[in-house]
Amino acid sequence: MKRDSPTTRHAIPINWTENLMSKRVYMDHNATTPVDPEVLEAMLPYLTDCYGNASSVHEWGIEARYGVEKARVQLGQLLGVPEETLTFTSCGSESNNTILRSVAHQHSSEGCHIVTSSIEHPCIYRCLEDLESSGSVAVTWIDPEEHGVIDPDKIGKAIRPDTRLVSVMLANNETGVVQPIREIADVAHAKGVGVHSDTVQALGKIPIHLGDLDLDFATFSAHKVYGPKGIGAFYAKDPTSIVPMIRGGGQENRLRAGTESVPFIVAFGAAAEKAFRVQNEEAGVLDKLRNELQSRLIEGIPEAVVCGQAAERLPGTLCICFPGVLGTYLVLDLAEEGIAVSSGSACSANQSKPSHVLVAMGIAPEVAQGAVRFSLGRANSTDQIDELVTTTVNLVKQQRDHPPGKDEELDLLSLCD
Amino acid sequence: MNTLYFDNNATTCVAPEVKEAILPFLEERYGNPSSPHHFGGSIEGDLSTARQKVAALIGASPKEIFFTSGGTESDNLAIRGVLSMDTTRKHIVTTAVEHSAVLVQCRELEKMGIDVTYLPVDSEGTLNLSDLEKSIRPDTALVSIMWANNETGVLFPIDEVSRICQDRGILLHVDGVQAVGKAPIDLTQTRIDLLAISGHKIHAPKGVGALYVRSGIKIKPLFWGGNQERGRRPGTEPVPMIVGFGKAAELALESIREDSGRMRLQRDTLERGILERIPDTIVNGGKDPRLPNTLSVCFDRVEGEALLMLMDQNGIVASSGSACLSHKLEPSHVLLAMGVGEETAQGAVRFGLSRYTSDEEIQQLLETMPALVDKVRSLTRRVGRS
Repeated sequence: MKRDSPTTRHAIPINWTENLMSKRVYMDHNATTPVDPEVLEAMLPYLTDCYGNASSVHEWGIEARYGVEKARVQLGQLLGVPEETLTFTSCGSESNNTILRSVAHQHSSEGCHIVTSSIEHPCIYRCLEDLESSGSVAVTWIDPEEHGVIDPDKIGKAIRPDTRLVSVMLANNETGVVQPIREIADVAHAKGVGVHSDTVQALGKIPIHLGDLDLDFATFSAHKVYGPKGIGAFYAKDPTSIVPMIRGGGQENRLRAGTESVPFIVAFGAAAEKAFRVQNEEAGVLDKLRNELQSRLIEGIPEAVVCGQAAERLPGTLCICFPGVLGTYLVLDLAEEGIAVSSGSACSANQSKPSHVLVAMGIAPEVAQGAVRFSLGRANSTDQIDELVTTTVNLVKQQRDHPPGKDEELDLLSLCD
Repeated sequence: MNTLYFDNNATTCVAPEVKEAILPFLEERYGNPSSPHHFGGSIEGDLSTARQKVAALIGASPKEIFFTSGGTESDNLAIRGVLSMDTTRKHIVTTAVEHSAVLVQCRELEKMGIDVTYLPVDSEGTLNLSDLEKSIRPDTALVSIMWANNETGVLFPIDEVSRICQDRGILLHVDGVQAVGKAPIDLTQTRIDLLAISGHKIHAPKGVGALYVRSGIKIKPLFWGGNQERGRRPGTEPVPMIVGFGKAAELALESIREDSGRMRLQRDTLERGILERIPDTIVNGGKDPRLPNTLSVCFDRVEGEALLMLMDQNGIVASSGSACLSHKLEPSHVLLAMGVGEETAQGAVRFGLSRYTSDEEIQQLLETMPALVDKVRSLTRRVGRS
């Protein structure tokens, strides 16, 4: 396989890159992650020499097919499931929509009720709202407890005779709070109801064994786990229960049509393989780093509120509200200092609204507006903490002393992770 | 062994310039375009440049381009997106020779109570426009017709189709996956409402495509999530692929005239050479207009799959038809619709050229093919046809 030497590979002026590299701190791993160099290494041959169509029966097709199937095995190993239960898609959103629509479609004639939480990602709640508005499903939304945890008993109580699915995320993208999915699955299964979990944020950050969690469906995205953007997957314990959303050729065992995105699937496999190798150790490191960041920030701003502090959280996620501050402004101020984080607000047409997740947790809207999410990962190290804390504390104090004018228009920021 | 890759209608290699354009976005410029911090420079700007380049390739405005995961998704989005906007219209018109992205979807729609008219083609693979006129009904929601056939390369008269649809006030969706980048397409001259495009047919990576939606046309998204692609297509944008697609579109636009001229000469040389050297061979859809890079032939008394396997062993890569259907051993629905006999259709081989195909490769192919066809014919004679 040919590969250009790293020094000649791209046209960006070296100085520009170096300036950027030396200045910046990336703490937005829940939004997206850099592609791991090992992952890039694995995918490059498929971007260049091995460009066959994986559905072709000739040598070039077989080579591409091998890449795709190897990736499926790698993802299966990370998740502890047989590879034939995994289907590649273009992203987490597509995966989630496919599962929800499949269930709605399968039960369209007999009535379909779905129980979910009020802290799901927009691709879950908007899909359910659409299905609800077309009369295909009825939805019950369960609010989390104070610390952001969904109570399995409340899920159980919401289940009706026509309930076909319980869908609760494994870890929340904003707070990092990990949900008691196994307990939720037990409650649902006891009543004969299938369970789906959006595990996009949890994948690679905490070990996920789909068999142990006893899930019927789960969904994943590569770009949260150091793979590239534009590739996702779903797990279906029984693949025959899936109704394809994109139809055409027979790819992905007829569950998802369209020429396989071979290089990106290979990359997802390599990312899964690396996560399988390093996730335990990495989780320990990130947990320590996050806790250090958390205590140092509270030291600097004692009235700061950590969201979901009492709950089990993803190791690298810190969602912290600075009362008297607008998180969206703080994020922009931090960006000017070369620090990439995000505010607590999720994808929404009106971004000045506080996050639906934080509000559902019972955090007062004026506090929730001051939310900033730091999400740590492979791009971070201890030596970034000092500067980060000093800068953040200074900016919070500055903003309190000089609140942004009312006439100042908020940029339309749409955080979609 | 030097491989001769003649399967460019299935997929193409990533152009070196495209790979160069992609790499920074797989390395340091990894930010999420929806994030406010523009990590690694303004990624939004790169997305809009890519959008402009794809738009320029087809004579569209950037705001009419919606990126998707590929041609199949674009076709699905177009057809279902239109049908769900007005559920009182329950009829669509398409052709019998469409790609599976359209055909399989249409068959599924039939199960859901949608009427589908499949227009026939003649022995040259062309449409009879009066069939189209007659098929349109008061409740027709959409006409969905491919620009170029993926197996034969036959180009449909989209200008005339467009005029008929405009006269009758019917929306027109065109599957442009094979045509875009190979045939000159200018939507300022030809009015189309929706056009599906794929990246990997024009030397961009697999996993990215686009749907052109003419300004003012409303469609419902296939699925829901964030506000990416103005809500028409949610999901974090696959930045490297989109940037690569933009670069590929730019390259295609720059060289389309030169490339298609050269490929046409090469294809014609190949066609003539095969007909001269290999008896009992027919060309499928050989009358113009046809894509300049495509040659579909049927070798009589040949099992196409056996020939392709033998070619593969000899370092020649081609296909019997659509890769998306290649695990089926049934004869091509396109050739059957053209009236090619089932047995003859079994002997179909499709050669797809690209801008990287050289004259030497054409000569090598011509020198190798006759012996391979002979070998398969003699084997077939011995074993007999089942």
